[in-house]
Amino acid sequence: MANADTRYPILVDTDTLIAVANSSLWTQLTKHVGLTTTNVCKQELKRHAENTRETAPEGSRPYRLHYGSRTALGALEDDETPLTQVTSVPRPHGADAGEESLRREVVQNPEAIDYVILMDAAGRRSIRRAVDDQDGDIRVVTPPFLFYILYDNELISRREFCEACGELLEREGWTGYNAVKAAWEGIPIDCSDILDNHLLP
Amino acid sequence: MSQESLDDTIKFRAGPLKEAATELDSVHLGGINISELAREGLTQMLQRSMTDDDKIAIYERYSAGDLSEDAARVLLGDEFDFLEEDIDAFREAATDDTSDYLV
Repeated sequence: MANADTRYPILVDTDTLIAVANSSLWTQLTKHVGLTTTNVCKQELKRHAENTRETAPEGSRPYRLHYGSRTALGALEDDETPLTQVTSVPRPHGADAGEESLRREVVQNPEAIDYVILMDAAGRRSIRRAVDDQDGDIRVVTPPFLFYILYDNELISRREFCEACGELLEREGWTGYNAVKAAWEGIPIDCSDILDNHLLP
Repeated sequence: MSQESLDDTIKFRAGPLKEAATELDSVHLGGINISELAREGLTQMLQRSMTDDDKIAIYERYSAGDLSEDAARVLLGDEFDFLEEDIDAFREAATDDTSDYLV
């Protein structure tokens, strides 16, 4: 389905890939939605998979980093899955290298991108500024947008959408709250009959 | 939320803090604005005291109309604006034809 030269207009960062790879909707996403990341994010996934143990307690952050990264890497290496990578030049280094590689993509190849999806709120602002600086019309949104694409095209039910948002809320704390709140406020979908009270804001 | 409440004074026993502030005011060229420093300092300490759960609770109270925007901004700082930007961005994206992105 996807060879090395295929480039999809949705660009995702490392933490987004890990979050959705750990979600209940991963199989649906990798079947239906084309995504592109960077070689730098792939390197971050490899590092997470190597630096965290398989035996980390289930549900812990190291566990999610390990298995989420492995799952995402598996998809990246599988030509049948619509998840591809582009090479960031010159290659950024440091703690924010993944985010920086996305920002460079936005600056260097704006015509190839419609959406940039990041887990980190400050990172979204930084890339939004880069888009504004060059009068681009790229949208920078939170990870639940990927779930929304499935929901909007009737590939998943409201229940599945809500449950995937609930997983993010539970796992990612304030970061996940930001992401899910933006989705719930932006597209009023009522999840109150589906999610436990403690997950609902 | 009313103008009256914005003029409220916070009182605490300053003791050596007052002495230190007054002393710095007298030696610092041009003096210092003790009230301004106190407001800045309290804002920073309030933000530093917030846990992730506190942030969620505060934003929910703001969302429900139980807390003023000004107070929510004091507590959440930049993160308040990040969230507002993200909500707008998602709302706009949700008007797009998402079927274009299916493979």
